[in-house]
This record gives sequence, C-alpha cells and structure tokens, in this order.
Amino acid sequence: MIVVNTDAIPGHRIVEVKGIVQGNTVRAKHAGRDIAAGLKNLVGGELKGYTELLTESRQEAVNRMLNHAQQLGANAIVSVRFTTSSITSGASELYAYGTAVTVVPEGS
Amino acid sequence: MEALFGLAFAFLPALFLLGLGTFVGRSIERKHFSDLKRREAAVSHILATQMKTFHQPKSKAPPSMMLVSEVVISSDYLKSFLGAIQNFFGGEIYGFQTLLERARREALLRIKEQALERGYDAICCVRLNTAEIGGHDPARKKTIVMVSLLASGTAYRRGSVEPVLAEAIT
Repeated sequence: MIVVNTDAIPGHRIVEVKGIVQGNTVRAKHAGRDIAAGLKNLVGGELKGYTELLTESRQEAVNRMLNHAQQLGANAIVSVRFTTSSITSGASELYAYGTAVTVVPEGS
Repeated sequence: MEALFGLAFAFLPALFLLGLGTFVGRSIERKHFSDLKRREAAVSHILATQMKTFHQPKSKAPPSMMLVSEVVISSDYLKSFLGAIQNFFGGEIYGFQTLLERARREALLRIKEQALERGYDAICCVRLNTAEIGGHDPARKKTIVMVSLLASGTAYRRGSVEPVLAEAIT
C-alpha cells in the first residue's frame, strides 16, 4: 500500500476514489514514566518516554487506517493528515485520516 | 543573623533547582544546538518543501512514501521559572522560543534522516503539527512544560532537471 500526504503520487494515476479512511487511538504511559518525565522537566532535554508514546500511537493509528483502506479494496492512501487531542493528563488521542484511492502505474 | 540563615535555608531547594536549570539546562540546550547544526549539514542536499506538488520528480523511481517523526522536548526549571515571571508581566518569552525552535528543527531533521536512510533525496508537503500529550507529573502534582511535535512529509526521488518531463507530470 502506497501512503503519501500529497494529493498525487508521482508515476501513478488515480483511477478510483474510495473515500475517507481513518484510524485513531488513545494511549497513556504508566505513572513511572510520568514521574521520570517530571524529573527530566527540571533539567530539560528530550522526553524519550513521551516521544515513544507518540510513535506508538502514530503506528497504531496508521495501522487502523491501513486496515480500513484494505477493507475498501484500495491500494493507496493520499492526503494523510494527523491530529492530536489531549483527553486527560498523561493520555492523548492520535487520529490519522486520509483518502483511500486505487492507483495504476502511469502509462498502463 | 539566624533569621537570615533560616530564610536562606528555606529557599535552598528552589535555589538548587534554579542552579540546576541554569547550568545543566543551558549545557543541554547548547549541546542540542551544536548537534542539530552538525546533523543538518549531513542532510543539507535533501530538498524539503511544504508544497503539495512534487518539484522535479524523477520519472522512473521507486514509489514515494510518507515519513513521520515525533519529538518531545522538555523545558528546564530556569526556563519555566522565567517564563512564569514573564507571563505575569506579559511580553515575549525568549526561553520558550528557543525550545520550540529546537523541537521544530529536530522534527524536520528526523524526517530528512529517514529520507536519506531510505534513499530519497527530496521531501514535499512537510507538515509540522504540535501534538497534545497533556504531560502531568503525579509526584510533584505539576503540569510538565514541554513541546511535542509531529512532523510528516512525502519523500520522493528528484531527477536531474528535465523541464518538459517535470511539467508533464505536475
């Protein structure tokens, strides 16, 4: 499956638009990670625990979006966008959405 | 004299944390900036645009691919302290400005490094979004001051300039 966040794919032609596909997930880190982040907040630097949280959430949301696209019988997703919202302290929602399409290589 | 000593003792933890922010926090920031400079030089040949269209794509190339990166950068005690003071009086908060700059540069750099690793030499449709995590430290019962970013873009191969062909595709 080709996934891009542009409207077109170079070398490919869109022959059918299947519609919007989406995936979301709400995740949190355990309290120990929150305490560690609180300590790191005194000296600065990257909060690896939270970066990891975002990475996991994004992978999960994208996987769900891919499953949705597969159900529709698409072979590519274009114009993918991400949004996040915080539900409560320490937990966040990551939402991935895009347009499922069927593409064929250029010149076929 | 004793009262003065007592007063200093009461403020000792705050002074210690401020010192920690001043020395450790600053050195971490300086290190991060020099690290960014070094790594940015290594990927300087990768063209990044935020256009939705592909600039000079190669006609025969592996399919393009979406790249995503995440980064969460924490504030330090000094920055948060000065930020809180500045917040009261209003005006620009310089400490947080550099924090956001570091996070944005790091996020963009990470997608460029991914592109390099996978053999692409251009990225278009770069989007930098702030992510909401709602960091909260249960031990100190405080909100964690930090910047979290989610960057995405589409990597592709850029051909040598073939004006006619490039126009035909875009």
